[in-house]
Amino acid sequence: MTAVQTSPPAVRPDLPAPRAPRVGSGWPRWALFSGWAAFLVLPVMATILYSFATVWRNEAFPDGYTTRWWLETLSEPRVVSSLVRSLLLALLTVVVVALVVLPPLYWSYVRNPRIRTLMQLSALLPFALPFVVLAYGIKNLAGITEITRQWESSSLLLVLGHVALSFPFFLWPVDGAMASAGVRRLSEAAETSGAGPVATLLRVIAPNIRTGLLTGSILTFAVSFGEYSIARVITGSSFETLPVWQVAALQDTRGNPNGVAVMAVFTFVVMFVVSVLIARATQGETIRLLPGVDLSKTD
Amino acid sequence: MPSSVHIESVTKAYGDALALDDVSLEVPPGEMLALLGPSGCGKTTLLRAIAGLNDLDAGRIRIGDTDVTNLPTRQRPIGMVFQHYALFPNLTVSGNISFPLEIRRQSKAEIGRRVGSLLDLIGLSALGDRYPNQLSGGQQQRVAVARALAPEPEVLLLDEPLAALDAAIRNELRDEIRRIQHRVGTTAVFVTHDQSEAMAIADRVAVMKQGRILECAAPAEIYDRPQSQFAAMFVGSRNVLELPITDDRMVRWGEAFSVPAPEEANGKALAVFRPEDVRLVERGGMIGAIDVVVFLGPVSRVYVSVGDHMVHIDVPSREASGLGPGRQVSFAVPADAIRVFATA
Repeated sequence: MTAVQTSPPAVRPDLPAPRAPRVGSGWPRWALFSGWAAFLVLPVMATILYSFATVWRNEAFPDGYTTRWWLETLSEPRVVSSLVRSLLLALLTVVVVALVVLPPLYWSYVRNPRIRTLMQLSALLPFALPFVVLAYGIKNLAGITEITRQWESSSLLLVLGHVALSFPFFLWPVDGAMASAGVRRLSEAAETSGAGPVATLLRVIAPNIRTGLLTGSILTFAVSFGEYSIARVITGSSFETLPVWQVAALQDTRGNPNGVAVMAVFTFVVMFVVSVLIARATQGETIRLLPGVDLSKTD
Repeated sequence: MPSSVHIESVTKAYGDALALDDVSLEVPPGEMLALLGPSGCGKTTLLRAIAGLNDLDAGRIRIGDTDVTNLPTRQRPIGMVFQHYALFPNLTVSGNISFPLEIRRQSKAEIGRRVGSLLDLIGLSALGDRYPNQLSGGQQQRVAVARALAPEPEVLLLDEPLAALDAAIRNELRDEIRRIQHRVGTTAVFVTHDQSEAMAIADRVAVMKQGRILECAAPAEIYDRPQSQFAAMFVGSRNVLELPITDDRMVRWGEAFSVPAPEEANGKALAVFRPEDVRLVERGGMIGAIDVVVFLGPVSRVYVSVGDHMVHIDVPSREASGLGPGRQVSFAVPADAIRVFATA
């Protein structure tokens, strides 16, 4: 009969304790970090400087500084109109995407999981097809019938184009939030407590996927707000969004390149502030819901 | 007000797999019934069918005098406790318990009174403002029980409510659930795969296998006089011997026992008996050599080798001091402690 050894093996005192490998220690780590930070920060800094530059020639810094471009650009009716259009378009896109994505995604969790697979596959389309191809596809589709042809170059079709383009950015975080919250289990608990579908959605499901909803909404908003190709192809210059104005301003010899920098910085600041507010409100959970983050804790 | 549950010829299939096969069952008012069986036997499917979370292919379910077969879950007079608690993370303990009452639009005063009494009942009066993630597993499941009981359901459904808990807490909460069910007096259906849990908590146990109820009886009845080979094997510890049937239609094992063979058996039969029914005797009986003695607290389990067979014998630990590996012992089994089944 052999005795079973259950105590842990003794460690020889003459051998050094194994050291955990340290990744990226010392100067290579700082060099890599500095390079990465410079890559991200320098273009932003340059844009900010340019928005305040009087003239910027072949020097590291502008010749002088002024607030003139900011004052002129933000008071220019064409810029303000395009900004308002872009804001409304992005907001409408968020609303339509939420209406298109939420019901089937919720249903896929509580009743029919196959819907989710279909949605995940559809979400690959905007990445498999160039935006321009997607835009011409939508435009041609609208032109097929007599009834829909009137919307071929309309802002309504542009909203649909943005929905097709940006819905994956809403789908992924909301999908992650639903998986993480255990939506099916919560729904069944609400049902057995006597709640109908509306009460279940509003009082149980929505508060528990709030992080995903906020993350998805801001990503969708950002994608729609900054989108150029689809807006250009579908509406041309008849519905000038901010990116369309920015490109036009850069191409126009009498354009306002400093104004373009002003609006780029303005947009960046707005999106940055909104992102920080959402991250604070959700206590950093937004990061966990981004695509590719492990969500093994599901029901 | 507790109601009876009537399940009449219920059938449910998932594709080709039959989850419930013509199941009929009655649960009288105020009874705690345990649905016991291995994974995939259909017990949870049956419970979810009572709750309305699963559709049925055939059959009817009545709660009291009401046919609930086609009634949506939210309109059924039930409360349900889930294996993984399923508390609402965005609501406090009090918020979770008051949720079913708010849905039913009860007055604030009534809700406050009811939540207070339920918190007292589960012993968590001081934790009403905590969120579920601030509670232990046992506390969360207590809250889930209180939430299920809040609307005073006619039937309480419990889907393996102790399976996710540690052993010590599991026993404590099992007794707690039994105490609460007794005090509230509601009819309850409790799903478990743990036979000791089913025996401890239920007034009656329904043993299920492959979508059918094999037998339904009081725990002592199932334990002492199982009607099916499966129940005899599944419930409690047991010795199982395959033995030949003699010409005089008896099943004998040396001097240990001799019992009549079942009528339907031919050639061989299975003899099943509990370790605690085996008696060590001074003379006569079957002789074997002790392989090992395992201390289990009040009893010690003695493994005795007899030819190709290994027999388990439970001996009071106080009387097991002289027993050790290699020692020869004689044992016998009373005939009335042996269940004999035809081999499949």
